[in-house]
Amino acid sequence: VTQLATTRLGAAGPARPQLAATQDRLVSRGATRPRHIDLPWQPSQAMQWLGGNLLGVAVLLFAWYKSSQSAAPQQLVEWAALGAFGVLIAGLANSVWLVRGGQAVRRRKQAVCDELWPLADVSTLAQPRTASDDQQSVEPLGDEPVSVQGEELVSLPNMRYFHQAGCDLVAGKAADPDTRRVMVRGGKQPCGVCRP
Amino acid sequence: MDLKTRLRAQWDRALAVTLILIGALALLFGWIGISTSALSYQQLPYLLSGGLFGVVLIGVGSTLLLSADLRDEWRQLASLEDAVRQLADQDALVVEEPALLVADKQPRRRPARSSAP
Repeated sequence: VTQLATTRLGAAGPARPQLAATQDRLVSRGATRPRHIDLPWQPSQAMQWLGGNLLGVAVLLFAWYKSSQSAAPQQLVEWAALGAFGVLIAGLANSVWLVRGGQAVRRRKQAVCDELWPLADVSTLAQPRTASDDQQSVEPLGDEPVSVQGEELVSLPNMRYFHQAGCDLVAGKAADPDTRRVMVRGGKQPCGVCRP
Repeated sequence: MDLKTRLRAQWDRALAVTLILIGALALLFGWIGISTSALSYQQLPYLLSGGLFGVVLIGVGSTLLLSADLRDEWRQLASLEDAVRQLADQDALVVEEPALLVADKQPRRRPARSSAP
């Protein structure tokens, strides 16, 4: 997605330096620079992560303290088990934290992709046509499962577009290969990004 | 960018590296402690304080490192989202259902490839 945006959204670049310059000007006049805390996690999730780790460490320290005061083998095993339980709690908190973060990032990626779709299509169609483009082929409804660039054509059942297998928008998805004819007749359109 | 600014910007990575180093030291000291104790009841506290505590610290440090990557990706997506919205606003690209664009059943012309990378 990032690669796609850098390719397609170069026109949006100048807005950011302008914003930064405005902020610098305001800061030079004594304003405080705003601090945006933009993270994939909610504050409550951060508290859960912190709490889980603190609890795990506390259990571990307690087990260590008690084990250092006893010499009976049976008790030692019990304190060791308690220590392992502390490690388990901390590990669980960290795993949940990472899974939640990953899920949030994936959801946002999907949202950005959804916003990019229409832009990609319209920008493709909005490009001025040249005489050489007109001389180029009228796209055939081929029976070959490859694009005009020779790459495999793929799509997903719930997708409106079909893509070249190497397109960023199907990267990592279990897309099925098919012929252009079948996909076009199935109501699918060529992707505006990879232009199969 | 000086070290202080870099540390403030990448505080989670700095903390992660610190925790991993402390965890490694705890493991090392735990191992030394166990290796110098002959009796099992003397070894166990070293296992708990050095071994397991070191593992927890390394785990938390690794989590922070991975979190920093996720945070970077998240912010990159945020700026990308802003850029998409700005582009949409600038060009007033009001898109209707894209299916309408090919509804005439005419053979489609292959779109021109832009020369831009």
